Amino acid sequence: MQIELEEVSYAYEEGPVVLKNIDLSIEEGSFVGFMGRTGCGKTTLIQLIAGLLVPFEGKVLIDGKDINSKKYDRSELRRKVGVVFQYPEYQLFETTVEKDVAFGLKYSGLDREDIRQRVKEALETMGFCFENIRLQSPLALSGGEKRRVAIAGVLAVKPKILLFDEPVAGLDPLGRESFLQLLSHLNNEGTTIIMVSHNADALAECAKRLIVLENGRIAQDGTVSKVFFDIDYMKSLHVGVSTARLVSDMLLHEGIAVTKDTVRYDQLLCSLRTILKGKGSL
Amino acid sequence: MVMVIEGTGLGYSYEFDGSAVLALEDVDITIGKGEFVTILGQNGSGKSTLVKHLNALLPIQKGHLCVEGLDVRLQDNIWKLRRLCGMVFQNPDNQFVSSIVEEDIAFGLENYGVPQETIAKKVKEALHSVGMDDFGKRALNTLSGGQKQRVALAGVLALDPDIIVFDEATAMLDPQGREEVLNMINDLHKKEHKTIVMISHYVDEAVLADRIYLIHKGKILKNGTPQEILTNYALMRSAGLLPPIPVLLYYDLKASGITLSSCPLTNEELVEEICRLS
Repeated sequence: MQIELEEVSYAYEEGPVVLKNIDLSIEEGSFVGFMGRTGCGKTTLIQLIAGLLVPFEGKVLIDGKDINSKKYDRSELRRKVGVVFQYPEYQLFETTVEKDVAFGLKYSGLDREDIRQRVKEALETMGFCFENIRLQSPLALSGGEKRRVAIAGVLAVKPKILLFDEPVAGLDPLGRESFLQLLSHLNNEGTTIIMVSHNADALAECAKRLIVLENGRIAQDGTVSKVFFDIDYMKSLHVGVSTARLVSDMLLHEGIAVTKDTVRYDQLLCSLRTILKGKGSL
Repeated sequence: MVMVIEGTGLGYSYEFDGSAVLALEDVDITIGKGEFVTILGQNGSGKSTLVKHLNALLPIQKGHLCVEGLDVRLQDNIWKLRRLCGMVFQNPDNQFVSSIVEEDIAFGLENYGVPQETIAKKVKEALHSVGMDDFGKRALNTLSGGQKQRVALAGVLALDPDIIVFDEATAMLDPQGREEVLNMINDLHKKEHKTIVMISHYVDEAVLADRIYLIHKGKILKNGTPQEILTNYALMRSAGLLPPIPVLLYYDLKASGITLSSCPLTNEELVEEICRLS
């Protein structure tokens, strides 16, 4: 197992317990979505996996090693795990885009040419033309561009595990679509992706496994179609299901036999094409 | 209808490293009293730039703008404008001035010289209206994103503005938080008869508005009812947006030779249309 949490609990000072006895293992190359109402502990969980918080009980293991043990080499963690926070644009601070994206590689031991190549690749992956963007100030870019530059900075390190905390909030539909394609692409190349999001449609499109947290515990864990199946239960956990799932449930209630485990748009479209074939044509 | 926002020929450019970047170009906008208007557009389309003119957060560079009859250019009007027109932004952290919830909400009232007894009452009412009665003494940094957003809204409501602008105010909220804020917006519109200006790129939120201004690259492409704007696939794409899922499905089905009798906007309408056909 690449990531293991063993009976992990966490509480903030003067606050209630945020995570309670979490047992969780995540395989290499998975794409896991985390959902749950605001304050359920999603962000805390991400920060524990990234080693930014230390659990007050339990262990976090990455590739079998306890990341909070004194003997653990933290630089290994920094190379393996990349984090993109809720407002990644706040992670920007350098005077040029190139310098900003290169920052994480400063102490990587790579030579200048290799670093430049990595930076170029990362920026191109995020849809930029390297020559046009490299000398611009990251702070003078638009919100969406800033976000893409910040993500490039994380990608440049080529981490094997990428953690995203609510990455699509605030991105417009086309920006969201191309971002999700990028995530799927990275995942297909073997990167483990963990993504916290409220966006059920986005998760339905790309996650292979969904975990729903409630009050610091795991309430649901399974494939997207399994987790989205019980709409009422999901509602009681204060999370939504995908539009395709909602619509197919409404259709089933009307006696229209769409495929029962429909969760994605293309599945719904496919189902409806078959059912409505030959009807409504002029 | 009495017009509360009347702007003509608005233009604005930002300056970066000596070169000007055009953010708004020749924008005309009129919003009636009590209307609920959504400004819809993709990231960087000029939505925020436009609404920041409404209470003089950005100075007028080009064109004319009156809000409730007050010329936004006049320095003397600025304090009146800021009270008349409250704003809630995407990231509440940028909006807080204090570290304690009730102090933060009281800040605006203190600035307007509201007496202490009234302030306490107003703060309580404002917290109640956003469903955060017990959070007055809490430190803001202990709140979740959604809770913070509700405190930011309470801070604006405490001043009892006529016009409330929501700049992507639901973007960071969970579905329940989003629904709460949207319900609150609807109540402010329907029961309190506030004029609502909502900036969004969530097409399913835009459905709620009386009217939509579709903006792209600083220009208004069209203004009309949600039905007129959101069901127009080509128009939405030209603004760099995707129509709501029911509309997408309508067009995708049509492409495979299946035509629903009318283009649905909501899930309910979609299901109705499909039932009618099968």
